[in-house]
Order: sequence, then structure tokens, then C-alpha cells
Amino acid sequence: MNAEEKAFVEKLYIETAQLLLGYARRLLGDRDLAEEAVQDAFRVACSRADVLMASANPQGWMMNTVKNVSRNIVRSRARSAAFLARMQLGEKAYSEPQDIRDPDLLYENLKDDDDYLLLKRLSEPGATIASVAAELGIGVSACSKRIQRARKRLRKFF
Amino acid sequence: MSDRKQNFEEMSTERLHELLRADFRSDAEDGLSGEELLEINRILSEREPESAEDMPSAAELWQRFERDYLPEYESGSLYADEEDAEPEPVPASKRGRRIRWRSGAVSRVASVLLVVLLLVGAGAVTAEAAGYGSWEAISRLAYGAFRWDGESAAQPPLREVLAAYDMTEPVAPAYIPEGYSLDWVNISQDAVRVNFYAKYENRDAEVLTVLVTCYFPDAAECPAPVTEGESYTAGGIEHRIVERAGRRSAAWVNGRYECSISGSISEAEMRAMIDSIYGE
Repeated sequence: MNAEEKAFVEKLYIETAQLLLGYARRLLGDRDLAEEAVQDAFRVACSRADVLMASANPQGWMMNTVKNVSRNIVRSRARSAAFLARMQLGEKAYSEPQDIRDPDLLYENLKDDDDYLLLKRLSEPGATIASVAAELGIGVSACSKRIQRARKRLRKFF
Repeated sequence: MSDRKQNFEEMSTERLHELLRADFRSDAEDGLSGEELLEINRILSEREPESAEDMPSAAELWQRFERDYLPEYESGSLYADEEDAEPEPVPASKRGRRIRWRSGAVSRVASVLLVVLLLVGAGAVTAEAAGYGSWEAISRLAYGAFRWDGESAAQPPLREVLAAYDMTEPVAPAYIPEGYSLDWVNISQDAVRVNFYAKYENRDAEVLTVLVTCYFPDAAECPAPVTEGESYTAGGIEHRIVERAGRRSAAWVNGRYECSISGSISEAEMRAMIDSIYGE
């Protein structure tokens, strides 16, 4: 981003962030996830600042980007939830009683696995990539890449 | 749009929430536009002021954005393993192929490109003569032959690039405001359209862009007329001009072409650019 593009994005951010945040909260129903959706949408905006500036309606462009990012957040969390659910189902085939719900108790070999712990933490209510990154003391981009790698690796188990 | 805005104002709060939820659940491409989403959320924000009570200020949010999210922004979305978050229409970098001409030293690839562009422009080689029956095929040929990541002193103007794609309809301006020079032309395509995106820059690093999106002749999706902004007619085409955040933008639709110009330029310069498209 050059100086003009950054100034354009910052002005647009200040003008629209709260409206976008309100929209994301209506879609996601969670304050922290909504903020992550808005912040991530502006990351997309920064990486595509030239296209954003060429848009006849930059505010509308941002609304659509927030919608798309919010959809991705919902999909991402659904995948994490499905992953944990599969762990429980897999264990049910081998053990009784079947009312065990804590995945930690099901896959002994995974319970200390860093990737598993990362996905489990992310699936908790209100957890965002930013909050998990802060806990780990790493940047959000690095955390996002770790999550993607973890999903890819652990998917092999199933 | 003004009628629809009026309709949104008349709708109940619950109905507006339903519209947002339905649009969010649906993957249909004819969902609510960005403009409609803006309007609905503005209305809801006015009707539900309590929803903003625990909301951080824009300045606080920006501070957090700069601290936590802005570094490494070039990697794009944090949810990159999900769908592309960028709204359509866009230069579809993931789905389409892209070529770019940059200013700089002449290379062998650029020489080949210019020779073929001239041949195509002069009519010495036509799509049919080359065995390619459609401009879609020409674009495939061009992508294969002209992939360009190097440096060239001779950036072909947008009009010549369009002509190389057999697009001779009046959509690109001949006049560019003084001080601006063409930086590059970026081309990308997906299943229904090809985007030609030209970026001009002046010495103060101010950016002027021209975006021409051409929908395939058999595409089910067609560009919708632009309705927002001040009307300006040239060449028998209605253009809409708006000013936002210190930048002036013009948007219009000409058949299967959807076009826009955007930059920190005056109203007179914008009109002169539009006029130059049609030789006026």
C-alpha cells in the first residue's frame, strides 16, 4: 500500500467501522467474532486497496467483504465443531459409556497435541484468531497459518 | 434504488433482520447489494441505538487494527482456507489467470508481445485466421503467449490491450489528465467475465484507475445499470459520477461492458476523460 492508499483505507475505516461492526454483530451474534470479521475485512481491503479505490462504492464493497468474511468465520467454526464431534463419535465406536463428552478423555494420544489444543481452543465460545494469537504470543497471520496447518494434519486421522 | 430505500424505511425492524439473515444464508449472486446492505444497516443502527452502547469507538478499533491486524496484511484474509472474501466483481486472482505489464527495461517477452499486439491491431492476424473462433479463445492464446512478469519500457495503452482482445467498443478513455502516466494494465478472468484494470499514477503518488469488465457473450450474469450519482451523458451512454472521500468516481454500463474511472481528479477532468472515450 502506498501513502495515498493507506490514507484512503484509514479514512474509510474511521467512517464505516462502527456501521460494519453493527452489521457483523447482527450476522454473527458475538461481539468478539464481529470485531474479527471487520478487522479481517480491512486486511482484505489493504491487500486489495487498488481495487477498493477503483470501486464506485467503497462502503458497499466493505459491506460485502464483511459479509463474505463472516460467512468464512461461520464455516471455519463449523469445521472445527465438526472435527471435535467426529472425535467423540469415533471414540463411541470403541468405548462405553457413551455419554462421555470431553474429547480430552477420548483420544489419549491427542490430548496433549499442540494442534489439537489449538483447534479446541479456537472452537470455544468467543475465541477469535486474535485472542488465541495473543495467548500464544504470536501474530494473527502466524496463528492463522498454524490453524490451517493443524486442520490439514489432524484431518488425516479421520 | 430510491424506491427500494423507501421500502426499507417502511419495513419493520424484524423484517429488515430477516432480510439480512436470508441474504447471509443464501449463496445466490443476486443477493442484497453493498448499497442495500449499507442502507438496511444504517436504518437498523438508528432504530437500535442500544446495540452500539458497548461498541468500541472507531478510533479504538483502528488502533487495534494497526497493532494486531495491519502487520502482514499482504497475506489477505485470516480465513484464507475458506472462500475468497473479496466481493464480486473483482480481478479473480485465485480463479483466473493474470498478466501484468510493468514499465521498465525492454525484454524479449515484451518484444514478442508488442509485435503480436501490432499484428492483431493491424488486422494482419485475426482470430479466425489464427484458428481461434472466439475472443475467449484469443484470451486463452494471449494468456499463454503473453504472460509477463518482467519489465518493459513500452506499456501498451489500455485501448491497445483491449484491441488485442478484439474489443473495439468505445469503453477506454483516450484522454488522461496531465501528470498521470500508465503504471500497468492488469488482466484477470473467471467463468463469466474478463477484467481489464489500468492503474495510472502521478508524481505525488496519486492513483487514477480505469476498470473495464467485459462479460462473456453467453454469460447468464449481465451488468446492471448504475443508478447512483450525478448523471452525465456522452456517446449516448449515461454515466453516473459521485464524489466520496475526496475521490471522484464515474461508473456506467455499455452493453456487456461494465466500466468505472476513479481518482482524485476534478469534475472537468472526469468529464473530459468520459468525452474522450467517444471522441467528443
